[in-house]
Amino acid sequence: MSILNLLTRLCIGITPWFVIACLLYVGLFVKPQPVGSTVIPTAIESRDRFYSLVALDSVLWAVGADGKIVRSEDAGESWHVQSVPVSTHFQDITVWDQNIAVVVGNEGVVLHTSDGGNTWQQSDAPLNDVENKLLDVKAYANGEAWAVGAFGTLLFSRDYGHTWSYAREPADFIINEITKRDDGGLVAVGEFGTILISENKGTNWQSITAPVESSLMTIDFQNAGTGVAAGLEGVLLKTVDGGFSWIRVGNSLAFQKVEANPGIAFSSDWRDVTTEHIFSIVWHEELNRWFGVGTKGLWLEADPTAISWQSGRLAPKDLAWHTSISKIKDGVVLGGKNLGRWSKDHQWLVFQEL
Amino acid sequence: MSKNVASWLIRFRIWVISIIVLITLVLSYSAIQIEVKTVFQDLLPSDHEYVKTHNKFKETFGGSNLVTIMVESGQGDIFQPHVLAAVDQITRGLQKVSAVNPFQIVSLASKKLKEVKASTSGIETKPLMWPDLPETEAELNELREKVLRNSLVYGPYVSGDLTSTLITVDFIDRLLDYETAFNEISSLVNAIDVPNVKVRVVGDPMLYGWVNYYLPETLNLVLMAGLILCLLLFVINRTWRGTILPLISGFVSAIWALGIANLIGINFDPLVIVIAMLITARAVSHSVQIITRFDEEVDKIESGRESVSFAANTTLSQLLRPGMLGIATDACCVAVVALSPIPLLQKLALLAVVWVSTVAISSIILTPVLLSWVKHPRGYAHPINVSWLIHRLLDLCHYLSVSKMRYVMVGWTVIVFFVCGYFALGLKVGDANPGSPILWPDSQYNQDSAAINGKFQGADRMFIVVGGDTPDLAKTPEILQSMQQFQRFMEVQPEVGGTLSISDVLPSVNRTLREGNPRYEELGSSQDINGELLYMFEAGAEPGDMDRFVDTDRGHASVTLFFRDRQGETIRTAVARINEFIDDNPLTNGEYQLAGGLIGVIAAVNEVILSGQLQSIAYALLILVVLCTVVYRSSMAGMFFMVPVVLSNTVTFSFMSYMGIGMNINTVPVAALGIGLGVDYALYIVDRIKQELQNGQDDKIAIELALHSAGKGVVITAFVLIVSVLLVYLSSLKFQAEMGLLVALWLTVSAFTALFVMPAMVYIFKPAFIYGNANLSVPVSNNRGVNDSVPVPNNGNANTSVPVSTNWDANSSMPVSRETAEVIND
Repeated sequence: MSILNLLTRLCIGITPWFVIACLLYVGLFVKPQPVGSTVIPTAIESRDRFYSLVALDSVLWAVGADGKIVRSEDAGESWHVQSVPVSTHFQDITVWDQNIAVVVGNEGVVLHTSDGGNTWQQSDAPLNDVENKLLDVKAYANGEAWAVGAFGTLLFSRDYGHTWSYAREPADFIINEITKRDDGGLVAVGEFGTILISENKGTNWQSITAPVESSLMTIDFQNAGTGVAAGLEGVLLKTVDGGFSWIRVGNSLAFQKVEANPGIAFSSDWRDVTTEHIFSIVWHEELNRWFGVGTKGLWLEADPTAISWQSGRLAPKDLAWHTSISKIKDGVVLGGKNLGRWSKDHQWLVFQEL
Repeated sequence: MSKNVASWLIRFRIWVISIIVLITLVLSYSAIQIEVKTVFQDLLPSDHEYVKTHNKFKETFGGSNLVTIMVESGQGDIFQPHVLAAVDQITRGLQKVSAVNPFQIVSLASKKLKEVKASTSGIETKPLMWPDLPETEAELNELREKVLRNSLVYGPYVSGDLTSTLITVDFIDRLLDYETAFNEISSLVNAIDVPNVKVRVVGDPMLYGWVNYYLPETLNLVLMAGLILCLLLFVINRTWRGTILPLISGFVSAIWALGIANLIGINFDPLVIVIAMLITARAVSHSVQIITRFDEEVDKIESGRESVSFAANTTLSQLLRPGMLGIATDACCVAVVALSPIPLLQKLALLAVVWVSTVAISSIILTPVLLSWVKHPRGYAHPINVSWLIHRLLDLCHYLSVSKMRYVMVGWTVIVFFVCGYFALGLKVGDANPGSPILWPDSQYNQDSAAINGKFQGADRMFIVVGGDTPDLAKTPEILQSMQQFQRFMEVQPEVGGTLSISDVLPSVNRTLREGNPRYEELGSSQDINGELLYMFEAGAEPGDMDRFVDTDRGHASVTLFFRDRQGETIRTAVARINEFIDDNPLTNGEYQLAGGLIGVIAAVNEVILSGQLQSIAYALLILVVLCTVVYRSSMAGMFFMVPVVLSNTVTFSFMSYMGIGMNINTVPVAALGIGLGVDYALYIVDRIKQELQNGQDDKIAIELALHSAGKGVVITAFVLIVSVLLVYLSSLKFQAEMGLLVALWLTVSAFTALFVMPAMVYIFKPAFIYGNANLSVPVSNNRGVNDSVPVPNNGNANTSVPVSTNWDANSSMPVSRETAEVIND
């Protein structure tokens, strides 16, 4: 009894000191912890700049700044980020099928994959001493690929982009885009109105004098003869002889500012062509139209003659620039400050609206 | 000793009063000069790493007193002449506002927002809309285009839907006076009277300006509370002395405290008015205890032979120990708050210690000395008698304490403690809800704040400093790229509306240089190239233009994070993420420094207040236990008096958690100073039980006597104070209202504990420090029978002695007694 009593008294005696010690311990050593689970970034973030987007049926594949590659299997509904061994800016992607692709970018980086992007390997590409920024890459049958970039870089590969060699000595101007005509001839455009043509699979290159001196950003052919090149300040050039001679289409006069409602063209007058920069032009066989994009949400369209062009803004407040066009069944998908689908009836849908 | 002091004080009462009056007069002159204002610097724990960073860089990267003004167009977008004119008018007006940093006014109409353009002659930077406003349709369209393509403007300064634009202005902290800034900006904004243009303003200077704006209202409420207190005391006590003396004592202690505070250079923060009420409540409560006891002593004296000075003398000598002990514990518990690293709390603790200490003079000494002059001690001032109600209540207390119900009472207390303890764990540190907790959710300010945060990236900012003391370090690709990654990482958090740094600017400059080609929208690959880009951007810049981004020797750069709210959890998550990023991405040169701006300093405050509060409680309990142990020479006493303190803190915390009141810089003073206040109710009652036991009373009767005298004082003061404090709930400041509620709760819990729980505990545990060294199990000679009657003081009842035992449980009451063997002899 007395022991029990003593124990009780002891307990009661100790309690206050115990409580104080506990409080002090908590006060000194326990800090409030951040709550909430880890925030998982969305695949497409507001800071992203996608320089290129390709479409193959329902697969969409985009590359951009800070080593980012995203892929969608469901035509843009959902996206996931692919992991890559480098964090340089990627400028372009090209595909042979849904599994085999090549990506080029800054610092001469070339990556290839043969498993749909689950793993990316660095390719063996030559580097110059000045600047190695690769801006464009194109894939053709049997593993043939062409890449161009800063400092006159012109590279080719015959093994699905695993190894690369120079097709031409580097020179001090930027080549922005290269394309292959239906008859196999190669045509590239670049800075200072540069146009290069090779009729022998890249062994020899011939320089063509363009009617403008400003930079040409993009080129595409409708067939062996008819093609369009475009560039800064709304310059549009047309050739009918495979690229050897060019005429200006549209004109350089400024027209009233682009301020259309979404999808409604200003007019069909040929003079209504923009003075905004044009970054990409593509010929769409199925829809029998030319498509073009550039700065400030610009869109361009023309009939097969490539003479009469329409232009407008994708959406009233969408001033995003776009640098890439890829064809899909009923329109095109665009890559740039945002990714989206521009349908043949002029509806603009941004993937993963932020 | 008490007796000697008491009789000495009563003998020289003229002198005592004269001295007190003289001091009061002198100090009241000082008290009326006290500065009533919030000093922002006082809110910050100056030793905290974040606050050091903040103080070091606030002049360049922006302080915590940023005011954000949103001009909203009711019809159409902002690109209309009348809307832009309003923006221009406000921007120009801001330059004339006192303490404004003229280089930190940013709006469409200032020189700060500009467009970088490539032209034939090179790079050209041109203000968007300065100095001339666009007038023609073409000019307006051009401006719209310029805004839309400028990511430093479209988003941060013009909303996504183009219907609103921001003007931000920063102040020079040391010159800033919240009230002046509030008045000047308000009149500037109110002068905008343009149809379909709405102007909204947020920012800390405005917030604290609103607090000052409501100061007269708050004072009125306090005055009303005083009147109600007065009225209730008069009704319940039925005597003029019972009404006026508590008021005098509250008044005198307030004057002394404020006077001394002013002399030692402490300002009075309007947000802590509730604290003043809490302490005044203590003064009133001590005073009422003394008056109640005095009335009782007067009743004991045979009719017609009253000697008021004798009664006053007895009262003083009997209440000196519990009174002084109560004040000493209050003062010491409040004093530990001074250990807090926050200057506001240190100053407040000092003020509160002074204030509580003055209660010793104003209540414990002044009240009985004044009572010694009472002329008609048995008269009543009015016929309304409510004392029977109090009597019933106290009978109930007594019944619950000594019947079997006592176990239920203690059991319930334990359950309440654990349940509240569980809920108290949900207490939020920092603000618990979006918007300012100082104001009601539907207040103008909070509506403005919600509107601005809805349209923009967030009005509250935090800046992180990246770099080092080496000049030009901020131009290195490593630092710039790390900043970009950091911004990308931070923007994932949904509450972070956006981020801004020099590494957002340089890529656009680069792109402009490269014919506007977005493929070149990237940082330079070397320090030299970045240096050139920076030089291009600066060309034509004014002093202060680059301040938002880099310091003058380009060693440090800032990343500004915009927050949509300032909730504790938002900030804590952000800080944790910042640290995660820094750990995962170490820099070889330079370092990340947290964290400036308003959110940075709030983060610092939030980090210190919870641990500070828990430490304060621990130290306060320690002091309480030590004091009680010393005074009663028993560690059991410490244990006993811990109960009301622990219980009131737990209940208060759980209440804050339930009401969604976060623990932040504004609530923490009340919570911290409340810790120790409130043990005195229990002290009066328990000490009275002890005295009666020493006088040879049976313990049941001792408890009854204690409850009917000291307990009566507790009931009266608790009721009167709770009612008057609740009046503050009508305040236009949500914070004041909630704190009023909190104080009322505090008083309720400590009164409840003192009346219901402590006597039950005394009766159950029969602690030696109360019962003396008696052998409890042996009935001794002066044992009283169950049916004995004892006189029970019952002020206002003609029959001063009532049978006490009627409702006792005869079985449970073991007749107990003890030898009057001493415990503490005076």
